[in-house]
Amino acid sequence: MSPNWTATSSLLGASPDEHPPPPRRVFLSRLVSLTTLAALGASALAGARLVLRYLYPRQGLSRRRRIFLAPRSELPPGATRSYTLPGGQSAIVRNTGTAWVALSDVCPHLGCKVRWDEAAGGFLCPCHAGLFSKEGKALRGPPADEGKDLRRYPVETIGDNIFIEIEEHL
Amino acid sequence: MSSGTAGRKGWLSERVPLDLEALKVYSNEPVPNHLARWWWCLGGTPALLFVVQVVTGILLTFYYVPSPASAYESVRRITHDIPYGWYLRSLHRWSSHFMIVAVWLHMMRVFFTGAYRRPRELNWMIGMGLLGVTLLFGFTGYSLLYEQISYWGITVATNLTEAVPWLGTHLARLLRGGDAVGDHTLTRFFIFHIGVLPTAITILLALHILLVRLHGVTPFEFARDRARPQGHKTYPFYPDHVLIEVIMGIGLVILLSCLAILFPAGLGEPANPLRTPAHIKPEWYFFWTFRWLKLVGLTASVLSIGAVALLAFVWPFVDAWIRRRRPGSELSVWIGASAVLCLLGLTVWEALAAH
Repeated sequence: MSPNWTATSSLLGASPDEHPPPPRRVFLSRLVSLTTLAALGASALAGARLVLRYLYPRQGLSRRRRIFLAPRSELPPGATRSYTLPGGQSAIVRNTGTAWVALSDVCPHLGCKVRWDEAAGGFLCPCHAGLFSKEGKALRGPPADEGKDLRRYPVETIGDNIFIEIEEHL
Repeated sequence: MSSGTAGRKGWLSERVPLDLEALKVYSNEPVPNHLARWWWCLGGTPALLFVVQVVTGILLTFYYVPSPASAYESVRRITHDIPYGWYLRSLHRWSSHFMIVAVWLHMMRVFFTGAYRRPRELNWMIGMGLLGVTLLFGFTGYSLLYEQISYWGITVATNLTEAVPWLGTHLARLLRGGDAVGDHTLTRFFIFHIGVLPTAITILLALHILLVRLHGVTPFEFARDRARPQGHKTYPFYPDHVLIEVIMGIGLVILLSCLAILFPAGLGEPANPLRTPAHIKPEWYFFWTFRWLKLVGLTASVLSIGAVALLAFVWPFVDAWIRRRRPGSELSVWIGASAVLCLLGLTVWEALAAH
């Protein structure tokens, strides 16, 4: 037996067999439909926001921290050494004769690790062949096009020791 | 027929009230003769390969461990210690390459025969979604190996996301699960590879096939078919066309099996976050993006690739506009041919270049 839909369809304002429903009923049924749709839409948005908030990583706190690097005697004028820092970062530290310069080995273009390339006479990024001078200045490739040099860590000497300042994510 | 069989049939049809006669009519839809040509079966090929990927993928997941400390070792174990692990992994890898090629070829066939035109515009858009999901499958799957090249691939790709205007930083953090590639990144990529993307591809594939079924196959006639009498211009989908697909499926599985045995999937050095390898390249299907990135720079490449993808997505409407303005114009063919040549050119260039 087929179900009798008349009651439902008149609620939706579409009953072909009978007289057209009064405008008030059409208005009310549309109002109910629209309100329901709006409520469903708002719930969907709230749900999406909840999922995004859940998936988005928490913005961690960070602090600047001074760490001991090496005694001055370990880095005489002209010497270059690489140090692994807490958190897996590295610093390339060089004594220029007048100061100590600490460079990050992370290429500012797309995050690959640069390395000293004897033939090129600078730090070369293996990903897109970006070249940096020994002072960390971008000379060639995408970093030079974008004007992005290697990041420098602030260096400080206290007594006979060299310290650098890093940003640590907590 | 014995009364026992009839009784069983009656029992089953009462519980599963399926109209077998209607099903027979539905599955026997006549399809045009041109569909018997193999390059018209390219749409079915990725679907077949997807089945291979699901089966081999589920089996690989039994042993894969999605954590930075154990991922590489678990892949090594699958490859070297688990019986037939190397074979399943190689099938999975080769099948992924084939799937990407088949999707591109299917897309080109649809493009150059104009099969995306009214009323099939939406199915082209769903197809573009399927291409995107297939490429993401390749990228996330490769990242799971956690070998040197794949690790640095994730690093470069997620940093690349940062170049997307406004949303970039948030998108990259969301993908990585933090400020840098770390413990959460691999888990996220794993979930994408085995949960999110399979769900997305299943929904899109179902919609894609449903629309093909609702519209019917795009009419197309070769000169040879045109000469045939009216009653001989089509052939039944079942069993004739299904048989063609089955033969293609068996051929593909044999080919995949041979390739898996002759050229099994290897494994590079384990990931070392402190050292980028000297020569880094993505998988071959991303060569063109990598070369483009080197040519035009970060922001320009991200924006231009996004713009081209958007144009490709809405292409049926652009093409309709062109055809309204210039009826009979072959412009879309020229644009398509140029796009294919550009992609191929960039891919070959990157393949041959050391840097």
